[in-house]
Amino acid sequence: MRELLERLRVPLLLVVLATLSLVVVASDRRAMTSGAHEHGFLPGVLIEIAAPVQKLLSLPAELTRSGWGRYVALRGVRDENERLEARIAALEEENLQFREALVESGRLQRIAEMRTDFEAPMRPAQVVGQDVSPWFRSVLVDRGGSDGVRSGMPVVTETGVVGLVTASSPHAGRTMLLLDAQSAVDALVQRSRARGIVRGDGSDRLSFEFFVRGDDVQVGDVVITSGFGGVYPKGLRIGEVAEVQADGERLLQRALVRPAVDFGRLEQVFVMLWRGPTLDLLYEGEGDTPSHAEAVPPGAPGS
Amino acid sequence: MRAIATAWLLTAMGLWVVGAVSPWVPRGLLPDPALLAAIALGLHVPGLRGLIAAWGVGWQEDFLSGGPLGLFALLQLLAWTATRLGERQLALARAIALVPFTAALAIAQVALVATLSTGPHFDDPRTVPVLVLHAIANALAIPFASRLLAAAVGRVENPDAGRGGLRYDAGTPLR
Repeated sequence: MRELLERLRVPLLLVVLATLSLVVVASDRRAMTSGAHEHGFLPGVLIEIAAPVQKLLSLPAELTRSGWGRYVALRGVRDENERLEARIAALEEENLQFREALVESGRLQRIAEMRTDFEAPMRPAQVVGQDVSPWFRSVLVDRGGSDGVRSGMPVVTETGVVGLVTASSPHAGRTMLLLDAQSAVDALVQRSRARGIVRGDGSDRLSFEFFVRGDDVQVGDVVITSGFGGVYPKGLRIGEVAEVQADGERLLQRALVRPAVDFGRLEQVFVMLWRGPTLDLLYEGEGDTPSHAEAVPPGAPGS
Repeated sequence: MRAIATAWLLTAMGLWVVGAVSPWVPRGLLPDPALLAAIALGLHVPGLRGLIAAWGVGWQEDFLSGGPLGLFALLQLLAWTATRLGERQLALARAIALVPFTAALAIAQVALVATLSTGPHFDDPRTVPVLVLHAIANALAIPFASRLLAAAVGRVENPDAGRGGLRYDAGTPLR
């Protein structure tokens, strides 16, 4: 008996661990779709630990970037030139800071406008980590429940939609990007008002599926959120049509959309402390979240 | 225990490197360090230790990814099991067998990701080239990863193995 157990211990443990993993996968997926995800202990703890670890992950890239910049800046510096170069470097640095301040003020201006447009408070957040798996597109931001960030809140930059918070812990939040294969947004073409769904597929482009009515969608058209899905407020910029894949026989046609946000260079984002009616129903029971009705007065965009 | 810790440490380093360079490298071109570690564990660390190490390696990937929790733990457990099962039948110790086996396993894993979550869409023509690149990247990296893990585990389990020539044998004591 003991010998048999000894021989079977690896297969037995394999079955136990595989079952345990499957149960966790199933419960996590169910929690994600039922809205209980952010109340889960395990996801919360993992995100809380993952945030500083992922910050560490991006450190080598940052160091390489700054190290390379310094090497290039200091190359060829000799005596007199050294002083002049240093002066130039200082001036350039100052110039850069001014430019950065200008860019920042432009960004803040646009964010302030967005905030007025959507009547929703915005919480600035830093992206601290990227997904390591090539099959999921998400980022970790350094704001969580203690800053009012909750699952189901849209994340934007001054150029457009980034994605949606799908899980949060007290000090961090996981944001599913528009590019993720699970992401789908109800959208419209700003010019022709053609409506469809923008989906991610894991690559760097988005696909826009729409019903054909003449040539409603053309290359260069701006695609915005429609507000109908009850997830994002109306009027947020998603991207620009880069290619229309016309197929005369099909009713549902597809266009490729270049995202408005450069996902490869995401640094600072803004979490809209607002949740659409669909997600508000889904995540019912969280008293401290500004609901759609509270945040957006009647007649405002997105209502 | 040391073998498990070594495997976890190597995987963590691999994930760290992949995470750091991923903004500059096209998607699919980077191998999956957790898959490589699970296969290498299947080749070099049998039994309970290998099983637990592979499961932990999967959890490390789960920890740094946006997919459903436990998904990669399950996948790496299956990768370890497949390697153990295929080791003798397919003579995986030889690179000529190990390379295509790893490519096949990488594709099977992506198919499982798509089945267990809403991962990549196989009906999208752009998924296939990324998948093929990913399989090739893993296949090319596995001989190196396997040798690295074997050397690291061998070293921690038998620290004197590499110093045989320096041993001093005093012989039988004189009475």
